[in-house]
Amino acid sequence: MRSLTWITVALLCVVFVGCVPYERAKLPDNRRFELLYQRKLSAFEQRLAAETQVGLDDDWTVVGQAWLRLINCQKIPSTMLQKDAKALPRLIFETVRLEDLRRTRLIYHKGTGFRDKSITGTIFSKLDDDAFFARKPSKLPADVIKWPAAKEAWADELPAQKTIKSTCQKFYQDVFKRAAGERNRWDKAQEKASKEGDVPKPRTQLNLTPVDDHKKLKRDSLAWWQAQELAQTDRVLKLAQKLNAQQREAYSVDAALWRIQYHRASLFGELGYDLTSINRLTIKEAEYAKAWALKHREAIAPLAERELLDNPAPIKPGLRAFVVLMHAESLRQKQQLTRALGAFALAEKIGVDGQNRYLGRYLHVRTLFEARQWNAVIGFAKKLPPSSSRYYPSMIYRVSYAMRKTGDVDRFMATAMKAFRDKPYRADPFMRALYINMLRVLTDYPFEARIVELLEDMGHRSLIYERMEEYATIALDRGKAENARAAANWLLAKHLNAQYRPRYHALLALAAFLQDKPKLFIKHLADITYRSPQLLQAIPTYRRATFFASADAQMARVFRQMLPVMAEWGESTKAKALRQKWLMMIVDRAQAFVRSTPGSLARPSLVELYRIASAMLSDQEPRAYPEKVGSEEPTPLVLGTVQVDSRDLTPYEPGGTFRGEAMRTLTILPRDAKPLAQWAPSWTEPSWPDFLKQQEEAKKARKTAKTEGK
Amino acid sequence: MGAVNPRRHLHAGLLCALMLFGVASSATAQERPTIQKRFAPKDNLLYVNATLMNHVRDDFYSSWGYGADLGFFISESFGVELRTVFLRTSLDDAAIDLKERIGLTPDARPQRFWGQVGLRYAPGYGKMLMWESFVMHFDPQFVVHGGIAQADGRTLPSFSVAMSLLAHFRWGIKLKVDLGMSIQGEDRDRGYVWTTGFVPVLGLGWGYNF
Repeated sequence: MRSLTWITVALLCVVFVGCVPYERAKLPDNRRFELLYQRKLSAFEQRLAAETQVGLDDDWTVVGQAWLRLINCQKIPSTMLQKDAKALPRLIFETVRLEDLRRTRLIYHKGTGFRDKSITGTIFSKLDDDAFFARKPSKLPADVIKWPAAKEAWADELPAQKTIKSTCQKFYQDVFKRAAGERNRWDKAQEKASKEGDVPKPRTQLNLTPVDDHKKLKRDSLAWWQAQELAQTDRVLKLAQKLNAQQREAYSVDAALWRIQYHRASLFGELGYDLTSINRLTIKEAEYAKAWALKHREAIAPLAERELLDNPAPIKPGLRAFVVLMHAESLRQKQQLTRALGAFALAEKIGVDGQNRYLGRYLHVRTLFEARQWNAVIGFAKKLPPSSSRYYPSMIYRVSYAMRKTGDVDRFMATAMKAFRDKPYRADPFMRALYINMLRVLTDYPFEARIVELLEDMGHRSLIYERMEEYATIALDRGKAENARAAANWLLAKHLNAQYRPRYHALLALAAFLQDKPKLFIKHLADITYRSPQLLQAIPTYRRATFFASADAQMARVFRQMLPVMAEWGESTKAKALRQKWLMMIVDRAQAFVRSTPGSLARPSLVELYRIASAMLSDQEPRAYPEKVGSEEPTPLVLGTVQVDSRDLTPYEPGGTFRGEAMRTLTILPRDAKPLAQWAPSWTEPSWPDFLKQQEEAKKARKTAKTEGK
Repeated sequence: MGAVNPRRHLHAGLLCALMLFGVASSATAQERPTIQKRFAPKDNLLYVNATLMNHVRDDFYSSWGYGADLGFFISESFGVELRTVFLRTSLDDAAIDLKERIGLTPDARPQRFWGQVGLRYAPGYGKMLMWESFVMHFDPQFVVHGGIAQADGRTLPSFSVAMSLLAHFRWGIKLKVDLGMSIQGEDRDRGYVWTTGFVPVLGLGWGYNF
């Protein structure tokens, strides 16, 4: 009996010593945000719930919960995080809220129909896809027990994983529905205004753009969501100032803040664009649009200035170049050409991509052109856009213009001729200007076969007569009478259409005038208005005036062009004598023609020119007297020709706006296993289904390898 | 953080009851299942127990015995066991009274040794809060044994069915209580006789997971 007692005592002792103390459960080693990064959403949620249960929850737990809500399209109240939270988690928490607001606004915007895209290009295109995360609980290991749900919990237990259901579909439907309601109200208002013949209601009054006091905006309207998003970006940027220098300069934080600043600028740009894209802006709306544009420039400026200060942002080069380009254009508009040129050059150096490349180069060339840096402009000869680009004509014009300015005529001509082969000179005002410049250069050389060849090559063969005539006109304008005469003779010899002959004779007459050859002038003048007897027999009298109208007009043209030229000769005795001679010539010829052809349609012009020429005669000349004495009109004063510089092509500038891209993400995905600098803005790993697929394939590969090995 | 109520020490008992009697519990929507790492997993567990047995039979003999169990759990639920028990068998009070009065003794012989092979099935897992400071983890088990008993030259086929509670302590210490029913056959002078009995077994031992 005694031994039995001892055995019992020993048993009790062993059991007592071996008893398991009741302790709180320990959190598993797998880290918090790594689970999120691995897309194990169910496990991530369990981890957060466990942290809360065991009392190890901190600011980062709330950040995780915010992420979870974002992923499941649930509201993220700002009060989730304690007011005394640390700066970094607070910042990331607010960026997650910003993402939430952005998504709502994007969907709402799309729902109103005022925007084509919603979440395309953003993180949400993946995030809101159910298959992106592993939402079902993973299989429990054999050594883990799952207790059923109960009202109370043991401290040594942790919450089990559960299926995380997304409410995104419902969320999208709700937001779309509300947005469609707003659109309906807008459409009805416009329809009503249209029926009543009233001006459509401004968008600003219909809450379609945030203006004035944001607090007065109607809740849950497009403008309200836009205002919320803007306010949130400001809040985040303000919070960033509370980070310490090390955190602030960390690669990931720096990049995130850059993206948020960029997004803020884009929002301003979008608001301005939304306003200007509608037809009838009120004065106030126009002011708002201008203000948004200004804010856009102001928001972009610090990002670009940072690049200019050789402090590159940790962002892909295309975006960096984009902000620098935007800033450069802003500086150009403010006529800060030197700074603008520096910015354009930097953007080019960083690497402009896509459609912005040619617009950037075009504006760069334009700025260089405005700064008269001809050699730098010529440098773009090898960087011209394709001829199909809208920027090609203006760039080729400027580049060739610079070549001409620097005296490199051969290169100018080669460039221009190549351009005419690529694009017709009639296609565009810039090409036309280049064409005129080319003709000017050609008139500098004696008229010979090479010139004719070049003129032929400058465009379609059928238009060679037109080009030759323009060449002759320009030659006359530039005082190259011999070239004009040669060109006119060429036209008379080659162009057999009699309708054009008076024009060519007119050119010859003007050339003779410039060369001071009165006899030749009289001959060509007679050729202009020559009415052959055979022709007169064939044309009835009542039709003659119409038939010869264009020829007679050419005579008037000759006189009209002569008078200003004579006025430029000055007041020397010799000039006066020469002028008197030619004025008499005009007076005589005009008088003779008017008398001989009373029915000419050019009569009023010729009479007027006759009177002007008569009035310009010296006082001693009897024919001047009746024009001056008793005249009610003042004596005409012909000052001379006016030399006009190249045509102002500003209205024809191709314009265009730089195209940015939507920020894929505005937040940071915290990582447990990596330092802050290496935290990613998003997932870089394959999607969950892809991951499973990869695992399957790896398994199969291993099996195959084993089989082959055997 | 969810409030922890130490008074919930009936949790395990309730769970055990639910498993045994198939009564379903209904949890409210906010509640969620919980998980816990098994304190003592049985998968690949080799254990050895020193045992103390009492065998109360319906043939005027009672036995006290001591022995050892050697077992191995091939999974969390199933295990095999080898049981050896050395018995001290004596007549019960009624048989002694008869012997004294009329000088007759039962034709059954006293058993000296039991050798059995058994199968253990553990359908659940439970825990109890003890003195609000300790937790006892245990398995409810169903046990079946079969083997032979030696009784003064006779060999008896013996079977037992038991319900068991295997409690786990720190350092691999195991304590088990089997409450079983036995059935034995014996070729006696008057023919072949089947007897039944009650077999409680208390075991204390140590286990190791491979």
